[in-house]
Amino acid sequence: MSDKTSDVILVALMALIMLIIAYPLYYVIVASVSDPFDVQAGKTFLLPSQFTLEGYQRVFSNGNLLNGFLNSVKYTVIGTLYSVVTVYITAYPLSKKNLPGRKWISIFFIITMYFGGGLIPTYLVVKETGLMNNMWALFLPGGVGMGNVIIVRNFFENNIPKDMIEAAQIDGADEFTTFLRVVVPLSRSIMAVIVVFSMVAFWNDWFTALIYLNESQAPFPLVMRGIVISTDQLTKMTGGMTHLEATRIGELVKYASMIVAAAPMLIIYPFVQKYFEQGFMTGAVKG
Amino acid sequence: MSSLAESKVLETPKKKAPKKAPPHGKTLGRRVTENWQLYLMLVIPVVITIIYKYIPMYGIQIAFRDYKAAQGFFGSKWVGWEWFERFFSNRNFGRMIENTIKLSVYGLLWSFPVPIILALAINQIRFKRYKRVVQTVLYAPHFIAIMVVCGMIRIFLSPNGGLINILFNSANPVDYLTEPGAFRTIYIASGIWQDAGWGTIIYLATLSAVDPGLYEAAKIDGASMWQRIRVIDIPELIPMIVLQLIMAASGIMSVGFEKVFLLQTELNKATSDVIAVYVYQQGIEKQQFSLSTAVGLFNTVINVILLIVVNKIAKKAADVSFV
Repeated sequence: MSDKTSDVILVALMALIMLIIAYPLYYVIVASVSDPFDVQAGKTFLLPSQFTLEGYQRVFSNGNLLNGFLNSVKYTVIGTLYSVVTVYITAYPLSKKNLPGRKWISIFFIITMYFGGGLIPTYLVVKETGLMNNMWALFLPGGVGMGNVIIVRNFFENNIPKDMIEAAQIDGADEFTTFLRVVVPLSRSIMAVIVVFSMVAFWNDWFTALIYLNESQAPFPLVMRGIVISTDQLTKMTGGMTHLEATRIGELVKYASMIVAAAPMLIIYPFVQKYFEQGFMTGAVKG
Repeated sequence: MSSLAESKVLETPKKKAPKKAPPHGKTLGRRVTENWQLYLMLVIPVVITIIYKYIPMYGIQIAFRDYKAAQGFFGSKWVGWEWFERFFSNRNFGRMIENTIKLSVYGLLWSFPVPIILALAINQIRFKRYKRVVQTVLYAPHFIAIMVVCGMIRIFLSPNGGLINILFNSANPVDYLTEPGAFRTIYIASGIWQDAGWGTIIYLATLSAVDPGLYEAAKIDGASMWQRIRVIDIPELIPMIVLQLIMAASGIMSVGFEKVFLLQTELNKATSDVIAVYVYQQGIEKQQFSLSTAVGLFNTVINVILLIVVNKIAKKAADVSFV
């Protein structure tokens, strides 16, 4: 088979695979702006039918969903800050090859990647430390994100020119100043990766909130559970409506809430794609 | 974040550098005090790790105690293997073990090769722009919340106008989530949809290290695309494949709890009842702290044993080891 033929087959095959990946998402987007009965009748495979934004209006006018959305925004912002700061202050000292005790400190942290207390002992510690119904229960029990620490540490070791650090220190900068003025600004690309990874983790999290937080603190995916998995939120929302109307609203809100939950992260990740690929690359080449 | 599990691979043992004399002949004490700011930076991470990672590990001992909140981790009465015995004699014990293992092993067999094949194919795309688009699209599902994925599964499989029923059996719609026979397929197929693309990153990164000269030489020798994949790419990937396999095999007992939990219905329990869900139900819902911890510990111990065994086999078979 000539290279030309192989190329054609390859391109076609990849197009098919992209279709399999993307179509379910496309279908949900189309369904979220279509009349639910047309969706059920199979009239929305390609284009919306009887275009409407009512689903989205309902999502943002419903008290519980809106509250969940705002909670999620708050947890994502604070959680991401928490993660980036803890990852950076752990990775920087560990990137110093001649820091006495570096090896033991690394082992101390890396063990937590492989062993943990498990659900209940962790739950009990969270309870004992007074974090029940406290937002910090979403962040602290995760400790320091060691996967991220390793990526960032590798970046510090390989991609920050040693002379820049030495030059700063000859000019009399101490470690804090070097870290803040030289290392942090030079590592913006890897920071973008950590920011996106953390945002995704906190934006999508619902289980931690289920076990540690109360109902009014629930993030968007957890409120959504009462719509797409069970029906308790839906029943509250459509109480007093006729059966037909309740079904219509219910379906619209299902589709719209899934898009509201998925869209922000789907919009963000392509911007840092190049960087996380590089991040994995330096790791793989080293290994 | 679980998706970062792959990055564990990045932590490969380094070659031991020959012991150097401390720079400038400074004493250890001197070097420690010189670096006080670096140690200070580590104080907060260390404290958080001790409290929320190490104390829970120490707390695992409640698996052997009858935990009472008032008496705490260490004051509660020692009961030995009682909780383990209770779990082993549970009438669903066999079913839970079987379901957990089957779901993982089938999941591993079906989903493990997919990213490798995808990566080999993507690596051969010569049109840079197209390659980027393919990669972007394939990564997308990884960034979608598990809650949304499970919502999509429910909607697509719904007997009332769900996509699958419209397409394949509109005359006689099936409610797949109440069919025990369909559960594993749903779980595994949706898992491949969500993470196979993401799984290619580590393999593509490995392939990017191949010397382009090798391809040139192969082309001059008249090797076809398939021959180049077989002779150059696959051998380059083998160590990474083995590494990934060891990691995957050691996680056999840890199925994706969240997805099972969200897709479980009363009617598909015959195949969806797994250990992780039991740990959650006993521990959080029924507050049976000691029993739940014992079951979790049992699960972990099996995982560790698997890790050791698979690592040994891999060492013998391919001279690659991880631990």
